[in-house]
Amino acid sequence: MGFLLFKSGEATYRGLVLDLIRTILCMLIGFMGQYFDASIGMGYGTITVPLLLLLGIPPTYAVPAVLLSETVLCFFSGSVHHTAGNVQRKVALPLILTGVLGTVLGVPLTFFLPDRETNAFIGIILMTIGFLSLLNVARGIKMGEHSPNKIRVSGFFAGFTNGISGGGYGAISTTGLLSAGVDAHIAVGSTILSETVVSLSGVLLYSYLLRELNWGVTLPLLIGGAVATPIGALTTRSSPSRKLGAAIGVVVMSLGASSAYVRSEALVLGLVSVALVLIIYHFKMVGYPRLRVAMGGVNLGIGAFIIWLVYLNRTGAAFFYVPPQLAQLFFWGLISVGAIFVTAGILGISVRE
Amino acid sequence: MIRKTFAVAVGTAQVVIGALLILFTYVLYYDLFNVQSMFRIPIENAPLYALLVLIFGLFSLVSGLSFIQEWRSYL
Repeated sequence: MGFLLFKSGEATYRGLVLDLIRTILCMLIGFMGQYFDASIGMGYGTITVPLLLLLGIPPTYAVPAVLLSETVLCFFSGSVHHTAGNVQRKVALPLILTGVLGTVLGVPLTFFLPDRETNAFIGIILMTIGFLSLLNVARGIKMGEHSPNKIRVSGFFAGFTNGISGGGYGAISTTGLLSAGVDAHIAVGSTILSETVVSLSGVLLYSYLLRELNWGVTLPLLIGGAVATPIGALTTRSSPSRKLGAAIGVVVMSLGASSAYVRSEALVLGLVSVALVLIIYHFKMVGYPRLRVAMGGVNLGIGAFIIWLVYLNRTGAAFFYVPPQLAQLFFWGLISVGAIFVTAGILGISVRE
Repeated sequence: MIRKTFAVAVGTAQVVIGALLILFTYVLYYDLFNVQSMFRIPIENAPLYALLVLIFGLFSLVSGLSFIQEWRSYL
């Protein structure tokens, strides 16, 4: 079992498979969070932390792992945005300076503030700036004329919130920059690049205070995120600025409302759905036939996996338990579902232009 | 014609499977009808199983809807 990054302590076949599934899910979570972050400049911490907690990873492992992976991913993502022309030095530099200051002031407060009040505080900030961002789009503010003071204030509040909760930097900084009149592409690119330094300052402070880091969570997050980075950055480049600004405003207001009032399960379900829609939207832009071929491939993969499950079940080597009274139903049910997915896969990969 | 028939049949089946799986996610997560003990799922692993079923269900739903969309475009 040495190759596994997770160690459940369960030295059984079932434990091995569950650890492997958790590692793969961590990669998927990293992919989803980073796709969101690289395309609209926010959401990595907000998506990954609750999903990792749902997988049963304790917060003391999840938060530092997310911050460290965020530092590395933002560096790569920021470089891709820089190459794509989405970064401006006069926007990124003040963000970094005031963001680091905010983080240094925010991290020590984590140990004094209760979680409930912190979430309500972040939720209200997000709702306010989401509303301001939408107002700017509605009023038709001329993008490209910056207000330096607004950029500094955005950086400080973003860094402060990031220091307190481990998330929220992207949402506050991106929408703050939009309110300051920065073009949506530049706002996303500069936020991501500045987040590298701001997250690093948070990681250093947390690692000094906690002295612990779990590579078993960090590495799969990094692998999944690395795959999503170029796809997300290209999505930003190909979206119209005004539409992107409005989308960011709506997403931030929803995140704020969820953070302040809604239970965490609902928040996770909502974020998974929004991320799925965004990914599908991206592939729709790539072209419908290609989307169908990709989905056909996934369908074939799922079909093969289901047939493997049937085989494991028949040979008595399955990692799950099926009650004897449901065995026949389960067998024929899985055979039918597997056949449907294999047929869907063949139809998908044979689609014509 | 054969492809059109297959597309609508497979699409409808996938939509039904997806909807049932999303429903089952809630049954599993909130342990309705004692399903966790029926399938001998440890309480600490229940959210993991629920997440897997949810992802599978959402994908099935999206894939099924795209097949139905393909069938409608033939009409």
